[in-house]
Amino acid sequence: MTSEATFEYDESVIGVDVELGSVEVTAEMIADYCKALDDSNPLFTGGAGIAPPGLMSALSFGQGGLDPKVQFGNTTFMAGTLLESYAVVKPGDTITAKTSVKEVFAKTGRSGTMVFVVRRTDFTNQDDVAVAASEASMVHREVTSA
Amino acid sequence: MPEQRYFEDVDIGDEWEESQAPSSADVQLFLGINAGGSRGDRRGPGDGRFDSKEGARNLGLASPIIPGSMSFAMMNHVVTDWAGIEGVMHSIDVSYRRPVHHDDALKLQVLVTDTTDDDEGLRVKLDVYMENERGERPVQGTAVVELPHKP
Repeated sequence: MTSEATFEYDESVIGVDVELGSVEVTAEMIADYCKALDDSNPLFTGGAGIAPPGLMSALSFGQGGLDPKVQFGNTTFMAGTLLESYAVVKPGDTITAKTSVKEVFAKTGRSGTMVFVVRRTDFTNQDDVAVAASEASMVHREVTSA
Repeated sequence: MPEQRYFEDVDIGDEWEESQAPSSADVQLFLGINAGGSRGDRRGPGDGRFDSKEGARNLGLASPIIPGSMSFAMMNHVVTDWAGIEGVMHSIDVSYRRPVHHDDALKLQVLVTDTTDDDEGLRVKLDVYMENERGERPVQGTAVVELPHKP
């Protein structure tokens, strides 16, 4: 049994694309990523010089997307991530990210009500080739100190 | 690093796993991957959840947690290891059910749920899980990879 949750947010940001900026992928970034994960895959650490697909979700592009200003809860956590990979990324590639808020919705379950914000981000390279796309959902919820 | 896996060798129900125990140093390295080129928001929401016991406690957590993006990266890691260097990961979709803490002893698991050989290529669908030492699965989801034919 679920009940309708009450929360407010800025609906005007839904579906509005925002360019987040560009990042040049470097061999150092790939090396740090692999070291942090203890990833010795020669595709990423050897001469092939390919970026692990998951690197796209680890990059920061200098600014966030539009904020739906959800009025609910006192903190946020990541709820889920979908990543689709379309093309290889190599050191020296410049990746540009464009994002939008896809949807905002509430769910009420055993642990109470939570509000989800889903963002879609499209990644293209310097040749305007789509290399990946992601959908990341954040959950807004109320927590109390341990 | 595992040996190359071929489509003909894969059966539904096959399982595989790797272990990982991300340390605080690993978390800091991960968060700093391109921090120099950003405004620093890779370090999280600024409440200390990733690097401070107090920050974690304020959020009802027993100890600092690793970022969701790092859990996601670990799930990517097990899938690309499973697929081998000639395999291609087309997609991965995970949900975060519970926090993952620094130094948790984690098993990253792969389960083959489907195989298809059609116009899209030799594709394998996987269930992917992260399991901690308490038997919980804080992260789980699915992935689709393409494998080569056996030579």
